[in-house]
Amino acid sequence: MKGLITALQRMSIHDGPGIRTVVFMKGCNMRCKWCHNPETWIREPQLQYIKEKCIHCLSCLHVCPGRVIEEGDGSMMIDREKCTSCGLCSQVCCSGALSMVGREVSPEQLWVEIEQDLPYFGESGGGVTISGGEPLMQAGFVKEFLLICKRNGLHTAIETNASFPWKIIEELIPYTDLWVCDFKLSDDKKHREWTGIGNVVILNNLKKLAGRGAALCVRTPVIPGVNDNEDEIKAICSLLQPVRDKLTYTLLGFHTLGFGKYESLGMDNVLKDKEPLSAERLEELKKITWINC
Amino acid sequence: MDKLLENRLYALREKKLAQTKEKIRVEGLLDEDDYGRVVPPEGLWETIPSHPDGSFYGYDAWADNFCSLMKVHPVYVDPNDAFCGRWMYFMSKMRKNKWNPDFPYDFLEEDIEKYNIICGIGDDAHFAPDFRIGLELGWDGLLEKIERYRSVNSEAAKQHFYDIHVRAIKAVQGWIQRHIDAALALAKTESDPALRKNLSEMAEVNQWVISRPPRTLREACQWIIWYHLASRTYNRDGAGGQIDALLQPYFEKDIAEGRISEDEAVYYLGCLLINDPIYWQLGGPDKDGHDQTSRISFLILEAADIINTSLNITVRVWDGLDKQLLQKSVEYLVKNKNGWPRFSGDKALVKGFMRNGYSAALARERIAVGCNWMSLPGLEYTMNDLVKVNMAKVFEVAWQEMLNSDSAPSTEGLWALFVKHLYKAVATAAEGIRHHLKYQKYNEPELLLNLLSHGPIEKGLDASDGGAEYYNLAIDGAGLAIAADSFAALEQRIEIEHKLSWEIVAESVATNFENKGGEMVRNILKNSEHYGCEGSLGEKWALKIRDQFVSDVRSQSESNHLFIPGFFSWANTVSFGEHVQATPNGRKAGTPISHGANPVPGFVVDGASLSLASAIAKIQPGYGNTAPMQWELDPSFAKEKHVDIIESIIRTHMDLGGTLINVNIMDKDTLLKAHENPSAYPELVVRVTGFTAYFCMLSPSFRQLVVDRLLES
Repeated sequence: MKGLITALQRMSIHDGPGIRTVVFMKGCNMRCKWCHNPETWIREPQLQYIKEKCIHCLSCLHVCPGRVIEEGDGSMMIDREKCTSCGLCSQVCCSGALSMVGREVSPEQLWVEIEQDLPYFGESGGGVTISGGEPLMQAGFVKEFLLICKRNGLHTAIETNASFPWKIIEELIPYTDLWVCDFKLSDDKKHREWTGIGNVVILNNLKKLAGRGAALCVRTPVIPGVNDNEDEIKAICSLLQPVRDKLTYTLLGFHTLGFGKYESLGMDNVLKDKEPLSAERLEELKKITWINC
Repeated sequence: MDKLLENRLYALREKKLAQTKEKIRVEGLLDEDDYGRVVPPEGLWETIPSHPDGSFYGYDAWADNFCSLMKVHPVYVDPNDAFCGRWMYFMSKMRKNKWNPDFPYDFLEEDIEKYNIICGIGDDAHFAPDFRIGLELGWDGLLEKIERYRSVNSEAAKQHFYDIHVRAIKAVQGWIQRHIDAALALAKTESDPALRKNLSEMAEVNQWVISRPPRTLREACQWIIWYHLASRTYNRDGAGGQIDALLQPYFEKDIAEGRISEDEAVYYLGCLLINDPIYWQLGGPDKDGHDQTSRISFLILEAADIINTSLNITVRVWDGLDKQLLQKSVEYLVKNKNGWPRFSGDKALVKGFMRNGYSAALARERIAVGCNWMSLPGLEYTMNDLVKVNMAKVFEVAWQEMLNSDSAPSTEGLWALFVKHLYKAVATAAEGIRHHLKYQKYNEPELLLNLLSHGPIEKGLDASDGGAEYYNLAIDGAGLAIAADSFAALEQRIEIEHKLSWEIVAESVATNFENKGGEMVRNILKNSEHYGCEGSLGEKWALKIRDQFVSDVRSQSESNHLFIPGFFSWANTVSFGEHVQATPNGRKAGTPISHGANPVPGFVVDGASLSLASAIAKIQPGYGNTAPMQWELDPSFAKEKHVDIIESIIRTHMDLGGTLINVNIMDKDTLLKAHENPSAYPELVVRVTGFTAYFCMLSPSFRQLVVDRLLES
């Protein structure tokens, strides 16, 4: 079985305990408008163009079979509608400006890439975190990979939106040491409006995970103009109240670090004018209720 | 801490900053260690030539110059300080020439230039004194030791050898006496009772240590300072020692007898550390394999934290190290972001040194007392950090020869030529060392380091001339990543992928990538598989070069002279780079070469710290000398909450085989602003290579080097 990933992030220190390698799975069932990993949405390889790296050698233009690349003013212009993401241009790009995001790997191949950092995981109490995208869209692959990790005594974590049938989640529980789940909005309709999916299944799954005694960390990304108000945070806390003793809950501040990716992938960023949430505001919101992490 | 004592340390720190500013104003920029040196008064002392070339050479001339300087060297007594003395004159740098022209090495010069070798001929110090000898004997005890061996070694030359060492000691004692007089005079006029008392105590301490071995912590520190200042003045010797173990008995006795409080101990230690950024060691195994961490190890860190200037403290990481000492040291590292402490990996160092045939007990005594270098205090003559082979230049020579030959180019053919020239370069470096050992006593004998060595006084021979117990001679390779990545780029882009041809690459390299399409070729080469990435072609070539270099250096060993390989470029990355044309890894002509064993900056997209730590652990030459990891830590990561993570990277690197970590934690914005206006950031300290320096003291090209390294890390 093969999985589609966008990248590995070594030495991550924000996605679970210790030093970790984060595996970003490609493909997501949500379309959160604030997403900072838009390259993980589509479950197929995509062409990325970073214009700052381009040296205008025009090699790409000459090999493109569909002739969808043109020399623009200061950068290459790609007709995204017509581009088939065949990747030929990225193969001749010498500066790294053009590259394909998304590659297939087997669980064994992925392990080979991960295991170089085993000594650091061991010394720091770290491990591997499967993120995305949405890992549960490739649950079979994830299960096989986690199995290898567990056989090798590694700490494992999954970052998921938890919007999948319980059966899929339940199957991964034996191989997952930590579940990290986002709960973004309290109102089902609003949740659907901002992410493309409702929150009822998610909430049920979180409660079930907590009920099963899984180590669970719930996070709310705080987005200015969307959920950065006390009422909303209180409402989310109220929904999580029944299981508050069985999970850790924290807030994440909205940032703009992923904005460049939208441009490089030719995608529209509806929040492109948004400012990052200030650290002060985040701290204020954290104080209003029982947030425990 | 006691506020009065703490304020005195702050006052000393402010004064040091003012002295640094003054040094820049009077002497200009300096691409070296801070040294704690103070600007001397103008026109007070000049060297006394002994040779028609205007320089001075040999026993008598060095003794004459040193003694004449000691006679007039200004006294330095600061009422806020616990100790007297600062050094002011770079005697060895004031010479017109550093090598006696009566012992030419013309036969080596062609190859030295061809391979851009730093040959070390005429270089001095760079081995470690054993402070225990001095602390046990005191100055008069050293004189008695000389007289004792004078009666054993009656040959005229040896009698003369002893005479000049006696002169050197007496000159130092004269210098100390003038400080005693100055401290007493100041005490008489000082209106503040606390400072008056301090000055009187300072005089008393010196009245004792001028002749006798120290009894207390304060006396021991003052003795170390005097020896060190004299040795620095003589030839810039900056080696330290296992400072916690050296001072532990004095500290514990003082505390047990109620002579001092811990606050006073911290004050003394702060004054010792601010005197000169000597390479001191903390923790690590003693010869019996017990960790040497004690209460004073922590107090030394505490004192360093208060003064927080340019410091060269090394924590010796090994399996038995006190966990709290490592944790505390990393806490100070991230708190102050001033490049201290650094960390040596004694597990691999001990194991490696034992591969030379030495015992574990001896190997455990070998410590990192210089930028990159290891030494057995008082036992070993090493020429550490003095002899370097620019492997990027060796690559260039091989590359040119291949292109000029009739054979079809290939990486296999290029490798054969590289092997040939690397051996020649290493052999040239080794021959230079042999020449140095043969004649150095006629050039620059080690009058001060001989005193605290086991052997020179006993045998009546200079440390460079058979006086030392062991001769473990260092040859370091530099520019490893440039050579490895060049091989890898050629193999990948020409031979495997057929993206480029030899002709196109040759033309592009020859024109510094300024030919038509050259920039594209450069990018293709530059983006090939780098050394530093696990399993890459760059790594394959780096390991191959490492094995060849190690074998070449080891092959130079003779019965009583072992040659030990290391990888280190010190701050020569700029000057080495100036001598190397464009290289097939996409590097432009004249730009700096890679740093020591480090991969080229920007070698990996993600997880650079782990890749760096793994790659450098793997590339170690493995015979007890270092290949340091130069680690640029992002300040957004280097925070208190991540101390455990940083610690785990340090421990893992050492566990994998790492030998030395030099760390910098610098904010990019601050560094860029300081680069533009250095004088506005007088307190910014950076670890340039193995040494720390005030950023404002560095020349623009060195500042650029530090900036580039950070931006591309």
